[in-house]
Amino acid sequence: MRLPGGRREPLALFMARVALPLLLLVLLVVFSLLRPATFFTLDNLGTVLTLQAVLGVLALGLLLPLIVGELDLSVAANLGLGVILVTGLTSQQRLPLVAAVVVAAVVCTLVGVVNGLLVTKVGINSFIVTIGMSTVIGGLISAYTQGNVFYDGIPPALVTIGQGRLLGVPLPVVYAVVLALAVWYVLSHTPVGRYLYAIGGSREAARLSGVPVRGLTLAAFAGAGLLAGVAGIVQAGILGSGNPTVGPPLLLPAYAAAFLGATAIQPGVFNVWGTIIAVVTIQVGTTGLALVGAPFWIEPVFTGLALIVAVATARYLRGEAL
Amino acid sequence: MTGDPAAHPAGEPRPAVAVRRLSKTFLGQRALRQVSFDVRPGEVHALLGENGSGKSTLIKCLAGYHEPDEGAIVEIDGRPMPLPYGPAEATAAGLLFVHQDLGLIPTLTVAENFAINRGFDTAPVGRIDWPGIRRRARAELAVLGHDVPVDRRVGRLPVAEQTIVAIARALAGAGRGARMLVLDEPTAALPDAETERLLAAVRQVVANGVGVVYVSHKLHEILEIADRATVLRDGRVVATVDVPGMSERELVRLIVGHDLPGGTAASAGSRTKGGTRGAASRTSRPADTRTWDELLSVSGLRGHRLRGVSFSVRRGEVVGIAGMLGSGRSELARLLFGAQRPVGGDIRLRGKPVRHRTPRDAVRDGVALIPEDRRREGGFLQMPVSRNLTLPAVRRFWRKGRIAGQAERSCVDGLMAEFRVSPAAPERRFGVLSGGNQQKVVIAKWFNTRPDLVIFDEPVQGVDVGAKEEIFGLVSEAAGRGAGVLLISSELDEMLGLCDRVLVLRDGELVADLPGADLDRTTLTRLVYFGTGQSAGTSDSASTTAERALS
Repeated sequence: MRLPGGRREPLALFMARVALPLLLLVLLVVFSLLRPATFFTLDNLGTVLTLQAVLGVLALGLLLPLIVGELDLSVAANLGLGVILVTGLTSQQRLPLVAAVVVAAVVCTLVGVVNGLLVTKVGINSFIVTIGMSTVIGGLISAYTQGNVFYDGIPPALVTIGQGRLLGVPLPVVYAVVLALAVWYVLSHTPVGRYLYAIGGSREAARLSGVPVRGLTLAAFAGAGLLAGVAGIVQAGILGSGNPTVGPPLLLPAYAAAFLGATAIQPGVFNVWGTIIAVVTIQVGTTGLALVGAPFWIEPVFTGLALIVAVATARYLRGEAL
Repeated sequence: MTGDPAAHPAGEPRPAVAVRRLSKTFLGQRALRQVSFDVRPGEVHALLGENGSGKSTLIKCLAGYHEPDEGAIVEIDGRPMPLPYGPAEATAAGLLFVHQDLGLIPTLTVAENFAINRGFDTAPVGRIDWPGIRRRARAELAVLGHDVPVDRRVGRLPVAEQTIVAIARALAGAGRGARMLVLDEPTAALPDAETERLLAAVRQVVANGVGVVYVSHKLHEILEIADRATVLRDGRVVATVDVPGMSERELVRLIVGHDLPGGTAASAGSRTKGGTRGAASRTSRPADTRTWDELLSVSGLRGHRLRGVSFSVRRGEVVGIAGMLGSGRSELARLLFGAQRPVGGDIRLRGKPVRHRTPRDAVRDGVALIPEDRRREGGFLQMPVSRNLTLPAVRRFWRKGRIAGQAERSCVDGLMAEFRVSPAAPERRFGVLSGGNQQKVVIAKWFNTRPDLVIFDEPVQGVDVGAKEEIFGLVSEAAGRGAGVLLISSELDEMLGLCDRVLVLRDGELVADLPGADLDRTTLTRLVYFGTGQSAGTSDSASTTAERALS
């Protein structure tokens, strides 16, 4: 199915590229028409985005290992670790907030570094390493919290981190946008980004092209750890408490967002803006459905179906195009 | 050869398979036009043509993977096949196919690979009858005159034996009804010595009355084994010819449609891109060592296979490395490139000792490797050609905190044009290019890093005749730019035409380091097989020894 050698993009590929943003637009229009009083309001928009900002940051972290062809299944547990450290260290150990934030971010990054070392130096499959790591983190969280939720003694400044606003925009949304810009810059505009995608394309070809495969794979895991930690700190601020169960349920939605995102903007490639659009689309869909009175179980069904249908459609369209 | 099948001339044997007026159109593009040819029982019929000439499409049509356009006729022993048919009907009718990717499961044993195709024989209570399965596999291999250990995992066999297993398995799948066996590039991954074993197996197949369709870019092989050849160009049959009595030059002319400059592929070394450096270049390179710096000097280099190898390469010199598979030639490349750590020995580059721990170190030091396995190691199949081209040199475009898109694009466009990559579409995925164009992209990517030492590992494997010429031209161009070049190749003729010196490796040792001008093919072949240029007796005993050396 050779196409003429021109640079014009085939229609099918263009459709694949814009299918997800188009879906988002359709959802926005439909729900605005159905519930003009509640849906398309600034308040609602803020709520919708805040709810998904943490998931967005987590998904950004996940992108890095995915791009180099590795899985990190420990990011959600790592997020939970961040929540517990920042709330526990301030409320139980009475550490200043800044110190607690730094410790949480460093520890979560170290978790990523250990994952990366086990994958690159010891040569264990990342799927296994990170499942193991995820389980270990869950156990350590239980040991530290003894199953309790930290409510008392949470510094108000932490709550501001999670619930404050900048020029009317909820702070978590600001963080997510800034981090998305940073990750996008690294991936799309620096040699490091090129190398990461090259490693994902073919580890051996990348190595033989002079790409530092081990170092960058390690860095991808470290980056995933750091972003999981940041997401955890923000989540702690939003909740105003340290709940040992917040992390793990975010794992599958974060993967769903990354894979859904890989169908859009640059189809077939894990990319930042696709992932962000995916996160927002899922949230707009589920919030909208809730506002029009759909039953509570619609949310997971919608998310799951959106993922499968989008990936299947993108695959079909790309198959047609190339 | 487009006559009506009913009017088949008397005296000629009835074809096992006859194809008439077969066309195939993809999305309005004609891939095949009115192709007619036939395969006689017991003949080796070569199918020739450049990449993109329609060979693969034709094979896929015959195999039942593509549906030919209306009006085609496929006859088996004079009986028309109902069209369209699927792969299962093709096998049932005795049309068998062994593709370059053999379709064997490397982690299973030879016997299991036979059984998985045919269904596992069972003994009472439904258990698998292992002795029976082994016996049948042995019997099916014996048809080809081969005794392959049936309990060995397929992945651990030499590639030639794997191919023989695949052929035997295909034949076994058709029972007694095998009419035509299509071998698609069966020797692309084989060194010369293993090729002989495979050709012997092919002769056995035709001796059993099966017609073999043989696809290969290696023309000396075609001359050796084929009875007739059908040549495709742009989806049409250009000619069907009797092969005995033809020369390589005549075949090349049929395939590309004109004489290649410089004549046959054997004299590729005398041709360079752009024609600025002619045949004179090699002689014009001064023999005086004081004029040309010594670039690389290796002493006592040891690896897993290499056992203390010493040699040196000067700037502007093309040094060939000949040797059988397993002689250590690819290891030498990997050691010099930092892809593998040496066990011992010294490598000096520009007079300074170097210790490349990773390819990254080597790249920084101005070394480039065009690896043997282009699809796995040379390029990124899913990435655009443009990204493939600039990857090792991407830092050059790093300006003011970002990759300068315009500068990168013009670099890519320049490389695409200079290296004549076709199609000239830098956003196409690397994986969809033809083998020759993929190789040109890999070479362009490395030339763009302006390397001092360029190592080519089997650069023309699975590449069509036209591209082969261009690639050999690029090899000598690298030397012309003042780089030192190491060329590892199984194509001994080309190597002789191209190299200033040839090193011969055998069992990890350097057995010869001779000026190319002092060598001929016979001497070089003897050196490769036996480690000595002296005659090793009759050719019969020679090939026996070569086989022993391999196993």
